[in-house]
Amino acid sequence: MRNRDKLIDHIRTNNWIVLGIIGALSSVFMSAAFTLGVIIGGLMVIANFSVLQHTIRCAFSDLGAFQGKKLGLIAKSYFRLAFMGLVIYMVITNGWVHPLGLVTGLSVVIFSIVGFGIRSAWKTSSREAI
Amino acid sequence: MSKRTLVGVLTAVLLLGMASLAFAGDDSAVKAAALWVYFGIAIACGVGIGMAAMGTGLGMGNAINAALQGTARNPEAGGKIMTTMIIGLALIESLCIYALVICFILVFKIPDLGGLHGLIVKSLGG
Repeated sequence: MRNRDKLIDHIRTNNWIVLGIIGALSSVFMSAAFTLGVIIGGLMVIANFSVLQHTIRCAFSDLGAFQGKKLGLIAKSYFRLAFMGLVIYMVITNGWVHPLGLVTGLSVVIFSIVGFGIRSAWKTSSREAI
Repeated sequence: MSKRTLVGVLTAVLLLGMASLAFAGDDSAVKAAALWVYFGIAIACGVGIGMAAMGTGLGMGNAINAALQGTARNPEAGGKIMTTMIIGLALIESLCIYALVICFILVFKIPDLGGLHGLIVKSLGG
């Protein structure tokens, strides 16, 4: 497996771990609506991240050349964003979830990437110190 | 201030003033205050999501521009650059999603006009 695939796979695995940890913590300490918000937001953003990377991978070759149909790429992008907006609209207007829980769930990928970055920086700096 | 902006602001103020007059009654001040609150929410949502979309667009455009330039200069590093770009795009895009959530919360989770009316009456000591 190439390095780049490893990195993305690592972040993907991290996403699920972070979602599990936050979901477990919120189910213990917070209300059911908050936990549902975390889970729905987390699932949405993980799916969004996967579709985003799949779309870009399919659209560009490793050498940066554009391959595939331009219209299809744009349509996929807009469909993804519209779907996210629709789901967020539905869950907020119907009051199924706590808005803060939803925001926390939507931050799962951010937490995962920032955590990965901090860990990488820590590893690099400790290796330099040795 | 450009002429178009001035006309827009004056029109908004005029419309709100007319609406306040339309509410003329016992509790016209309260209703006018509620209307101003809704006006503020509408402006905040519109401007907020617009600015978020603009920032996201600029950020994504810059990221993709830099990634493609880097790949064109050094095609062998294309895979790594693309991976980093995807991660960066995910980070940038989430900001716009936050703005969207905040707009939805502002619009749909603020108490309705009746509730707001009650709150303002209470705050005025009525």
